[in-house]
Amino acid sequence: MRFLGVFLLALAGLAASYLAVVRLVDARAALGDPLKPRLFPTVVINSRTEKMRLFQTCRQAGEIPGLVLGSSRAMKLKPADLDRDTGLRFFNFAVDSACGEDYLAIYRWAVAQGARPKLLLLGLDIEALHDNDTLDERLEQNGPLLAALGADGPAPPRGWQSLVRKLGRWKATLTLDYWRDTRRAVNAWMHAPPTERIFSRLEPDSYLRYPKWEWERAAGRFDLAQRIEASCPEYIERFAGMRSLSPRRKVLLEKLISEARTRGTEVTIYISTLHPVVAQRLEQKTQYHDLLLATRQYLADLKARYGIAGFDFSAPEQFGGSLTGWYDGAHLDESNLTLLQARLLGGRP
Amino acid sequence: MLFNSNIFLFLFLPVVFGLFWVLRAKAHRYLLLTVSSFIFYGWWNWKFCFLLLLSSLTSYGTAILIERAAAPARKRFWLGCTVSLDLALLGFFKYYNFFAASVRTFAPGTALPVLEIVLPIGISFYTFHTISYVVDVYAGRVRAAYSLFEYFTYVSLFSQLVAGPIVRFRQIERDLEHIDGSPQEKHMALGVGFFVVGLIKKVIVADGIASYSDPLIASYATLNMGGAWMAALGYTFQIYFDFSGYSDMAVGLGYLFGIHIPQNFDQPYQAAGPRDFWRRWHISLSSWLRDYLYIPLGGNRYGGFRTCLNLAITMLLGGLWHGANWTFVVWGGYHGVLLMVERLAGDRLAVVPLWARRAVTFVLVVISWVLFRSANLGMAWVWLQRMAGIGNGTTGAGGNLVAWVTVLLIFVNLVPDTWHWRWGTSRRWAVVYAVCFLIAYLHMNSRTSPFLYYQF
Repeated sequence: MRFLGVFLLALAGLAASYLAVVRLVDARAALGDPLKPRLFPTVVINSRTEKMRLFQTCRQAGEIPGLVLGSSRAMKLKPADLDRDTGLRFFNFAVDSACGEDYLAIYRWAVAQGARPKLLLLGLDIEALHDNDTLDERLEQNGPLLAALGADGPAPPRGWQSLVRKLGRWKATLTLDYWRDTRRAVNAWMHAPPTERIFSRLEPDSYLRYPKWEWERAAGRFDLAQRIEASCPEYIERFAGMRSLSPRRKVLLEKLISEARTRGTEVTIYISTLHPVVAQRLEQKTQYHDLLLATRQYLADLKARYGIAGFDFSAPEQFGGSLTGWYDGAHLDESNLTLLQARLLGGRP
Repeated sequence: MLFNSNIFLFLFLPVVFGLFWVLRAKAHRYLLLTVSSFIFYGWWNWKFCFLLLLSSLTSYGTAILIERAAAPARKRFWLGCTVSLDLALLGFFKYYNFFAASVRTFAPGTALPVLEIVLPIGISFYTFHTISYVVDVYAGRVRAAYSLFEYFTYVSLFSQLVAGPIVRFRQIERDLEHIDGSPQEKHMALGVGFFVVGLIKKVIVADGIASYSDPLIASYATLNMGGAWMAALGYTFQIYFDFSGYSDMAVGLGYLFGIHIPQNFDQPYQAAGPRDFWRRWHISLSSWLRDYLYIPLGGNRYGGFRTCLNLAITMLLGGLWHGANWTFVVWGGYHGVLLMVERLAGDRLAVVPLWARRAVTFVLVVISWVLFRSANLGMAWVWLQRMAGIGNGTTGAGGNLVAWVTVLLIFVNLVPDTWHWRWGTSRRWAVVYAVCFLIAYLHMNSRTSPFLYYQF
């Protein structure tokens, strides 16, 4: 059994070394305290943790009375443009794949940091109210946001559950992709990667850039049709199994509106946009059509009950947008966003 | 439960392994291996444990009855009973719907209902285990096992239960008799070595090349000639590394419990003819078909025509054993024809240089995998047409697949089979295996894919 003993000991040592490196580099910003500065750059942006850190930095420079919430589809709303158009200093707190609970958690966390928003813009994705009620793992792993959610979030895991969850988080790092990301982070730390290799980057004011796509566009290598086509399966997957708007997530969204209104915050919600090609494909493969109608109805209901401003921008023609001003089938480019923003801010009461 | 799953690697295997070596008594070890194997099997669907139990109990009981029976007719009766039951179970669960659908196609007026039958995993393998056992008892090649759990250990041993190798009782009888022995350092080293190399073959090589060849195969109709060949070659290597990887892992697991699982592959892509190929590919199946089907049919003892007929029957049934689909029947028939042609050609092939025989055999085998991989005969036909340059497909293979195929082509021709390796058993090698395991695990944890032969 000595051979086996050496094998297991070596394996344990190797695994421990691997995990130590992965933890130190933390290439996806998923393992340590999200608010502590890290030595190595993040190569797969965890927008929740990145934006929390940026928010704290921005707060030091003064009040932030304007807040954007939403998913990656709202992440390109430019704080500088919003500042200019509203006269309020804005922070874009939209995060990837945000759902009802993310909006509330982020809002509460921002308020707990001392923010007193006067204007809240929320880009509402239909699937943010998915009735599967599954928490995004990046929220699940974010202690401060979960704490902000409090009793409105999942019960904190105890005992074995907690241990299994922690082990699961470490186990998730034992993949080839994670190792590649770790290597990329170390490489990026040693010498900055060329622009065409950086997929996304957050500016200090929370504005999202897509350096790779911007570079491809400038070089004439950007194939929008192919990007839109590639978006279809992803969004079909997102809408898969969604039959109705989640009552639980609706409650969370309404809590956000109530809490904001109580603090005197003006709330504006718009249904976010999908490219007509993606929307058409979703209509064929999912309940998208019915869900869009339900979301429109729900937004009208929210407007009536809470006196908020609401817009249906589910299709680009609703804000005068084009079919070419896109990065893919769900993400508007700057030209379309300028139009959307103008309609959004111009249409407020 | 898959060998390449966390539950197996980090819970099932360590617990069973630890308990096995803590327990000393033979009976306890039999019981442990039986119970754990049923847990392993029931992990997919516990209901099928009853089927395995029925098949095992029947063959266990009838083997004893065969041995005790004095009259040959009585022996034959019990043999007939158990083989019939085994084949009836296999026939119903695996082939009933295929039969019903085929009858509907050829005789539309006949209304045989198509049933919702879930194929019990591994049924083809353990059915062959039990049949070979009772036939061997009948023929006097082995004595019937009187220890129920010893027999259950043989039939249900988790290392070879669901995808082979098809182990015969006599091949591991001695190990089972001495299962109460102490652990041997060399066995542990071989066990870890075989298991780790098998895991690498599966999760790095087979799954790696499949990630490039599968998308190509999915668009078989639009492939150009090069793309069609690359897709076929990709699958050729995928199935080899997948199945031989599984077999290596089974062998490794066997060693960890002191059981010698027989060799299942021996550099099949270096074969110098169809017959040579079947001596090297899935050896446990081909030798089973030879010993329990081809030879009882008469083998080559009754002249050229009967030999060819026996070959055809054996290979057609061998093809059908793989699955209830006409593609497998045609695949088996194709190999049957190759074997017949080789037999008819006789010594005349000896004048062809070895490298040429190897190359031709390899190409013929690659073509056969197209039949094997295709979802139906229509797909196989179109794919083969694309390989022949017929059609106006434009999809070609990417550089990654070409690189994989090139490397593996060199590998299978130059690197000896794992059974011919001089396995390191020193502690330094334990560290090497640990590094290899970690690398394989990083690949494995990125995606979970079942072994190809689980479907058979």
